[in-house]
Amino acid sequence: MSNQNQLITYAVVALVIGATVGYLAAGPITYNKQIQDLQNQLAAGGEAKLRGSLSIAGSTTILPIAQECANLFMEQHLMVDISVAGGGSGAGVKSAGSGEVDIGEASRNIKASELLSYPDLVAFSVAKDSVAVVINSDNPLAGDLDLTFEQVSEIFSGEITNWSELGGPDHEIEVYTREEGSGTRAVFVDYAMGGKELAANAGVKPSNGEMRAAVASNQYGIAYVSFGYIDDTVSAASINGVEAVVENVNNGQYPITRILWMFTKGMPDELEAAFIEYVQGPEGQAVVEDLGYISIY
Amino acid sequence: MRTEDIISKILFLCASFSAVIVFMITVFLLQEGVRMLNPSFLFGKTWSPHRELFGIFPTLVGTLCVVAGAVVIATAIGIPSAIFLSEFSPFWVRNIIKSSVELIVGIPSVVIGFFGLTVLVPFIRDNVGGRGESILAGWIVLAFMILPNLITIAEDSLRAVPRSYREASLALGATRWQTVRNVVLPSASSGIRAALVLGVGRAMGETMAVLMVVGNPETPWIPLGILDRVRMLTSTIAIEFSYAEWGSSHQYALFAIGVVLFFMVTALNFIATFVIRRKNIQ
Repeated sequence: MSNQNQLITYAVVALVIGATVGYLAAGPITYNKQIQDLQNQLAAGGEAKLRGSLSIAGSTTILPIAQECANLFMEQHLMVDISVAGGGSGAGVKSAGSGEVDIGEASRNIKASELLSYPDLVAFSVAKDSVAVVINSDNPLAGDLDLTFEQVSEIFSGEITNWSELGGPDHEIEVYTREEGSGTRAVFVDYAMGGKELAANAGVKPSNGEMRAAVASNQYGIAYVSFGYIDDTVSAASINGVEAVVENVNNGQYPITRILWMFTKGMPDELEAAFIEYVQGPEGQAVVEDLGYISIY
Repeated sequence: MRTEDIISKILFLCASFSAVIVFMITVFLLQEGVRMLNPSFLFGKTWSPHRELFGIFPTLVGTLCVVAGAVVIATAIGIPSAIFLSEFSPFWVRNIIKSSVELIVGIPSVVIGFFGLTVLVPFIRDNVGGRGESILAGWIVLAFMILPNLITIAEDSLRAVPRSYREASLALGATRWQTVRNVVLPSASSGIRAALVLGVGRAMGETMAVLMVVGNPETPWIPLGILDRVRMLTSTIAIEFSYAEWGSSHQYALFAIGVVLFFMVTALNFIATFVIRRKNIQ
């Protein structure tokens, strides 16, 4: 027993010594690297005057853009720390309006009721986007599905309930929807639902990512997502014979377009303005297009 | 003597800390939530905030179904496990099982939910039927989450039964199983009941993991089978609070859900304490 205790003591001592040595060796290295990065940056004519931290939250549609732009921005401004979160458009407006975060995002226009609650919000457009109806890539209809808004509203309100009614297999259509605070949902309902209520049995998913995942893992699922979230795991349906691709949104044929917004409470301060300008600028807009959204220009 | 006084005061401050916090939370919840607490809230059948309809009855029923089933499953597995570990298991087997059970506690609930969503839900969809997201999936995920505490507490209370009781029973010629059933289990019953109550409380309050597997229908209905999809009270708060506008009836309705949850768990605790006390007096 005492042997065992001794062994444990030795192990603990060894661990502590190891950790200390590791920490001492690694500390200066990372520290030196930061200083070196900063020096390189200054030598390259970069700016080091921006410093501070930014918090961004809201629309999950804009989340990938904000994340990528934040990473690039932080590479150029080492003294800036940006944290990006989701939450949905409603949460974006609410948290920017109440000052919980510095920049809020929404993938729909601000509502009158929100303007009344948060009158000092200032909005900046950062990208354009559209909403696509997506189904599983293994659905026999994948690639050929062409719907009218009438059919879309009937599917999502629960009037059409079987894939056979659309020329597919005899199986229930399993509808997914976003939560009520979602901007994607607001835009989708505005354009496609024609005043109908969403089906009571639609499964609620709280983000674009989860909508895509739900359809990707369910052969009989149907959902709607931002264009930025369309990938190989799902298949987008055509609307009125128009394929859901960026070109068709640009030339005005695809019937849904929307603007993606960032908000600040009052006029943005120096750092907020710098980040928003970055997103609106050439580098930010390149990110926007890379990720499958549409540039504001 | 003076240091003694100071120390006792510091200890008192620490002890009163959680009581004060609980009191403040209760006051805050009631203040925000009580204005929505009325029969049409508790028994209303439709929850649809954009139509200003705030009826939690189907959600309440759904929550109770999921919690009850999960506790039954966890009990059916947990209590026998605890009996085995404390009464029948060889030392080394007990060590292995106990440490793996304790490891479960360390798994973050989102990870369990993610596992449920990617493994359990498709499995149910392919082999049992329905959409996969269901009360059944909620039962399994929640049962798994409350199992470790249940086993640990039940086993501790079984082991706390004095050795002399067992020895006396065995000396009278009872077998090991008879000893367990007639002597050990009755002596440990208050501890086991406490374990169950803690399990129910935990299951009622769990949010993330269960949110991911029970389906969250747009407008919840009263479930009719174990493959139906439901909403949990906690998930409703978790999903909707981030966008419910300040001062809207939607936000107050979410606070009211908090009040309902709080009272359900508190009532449960009172009942349990009462039952345990009565048993002990007898």
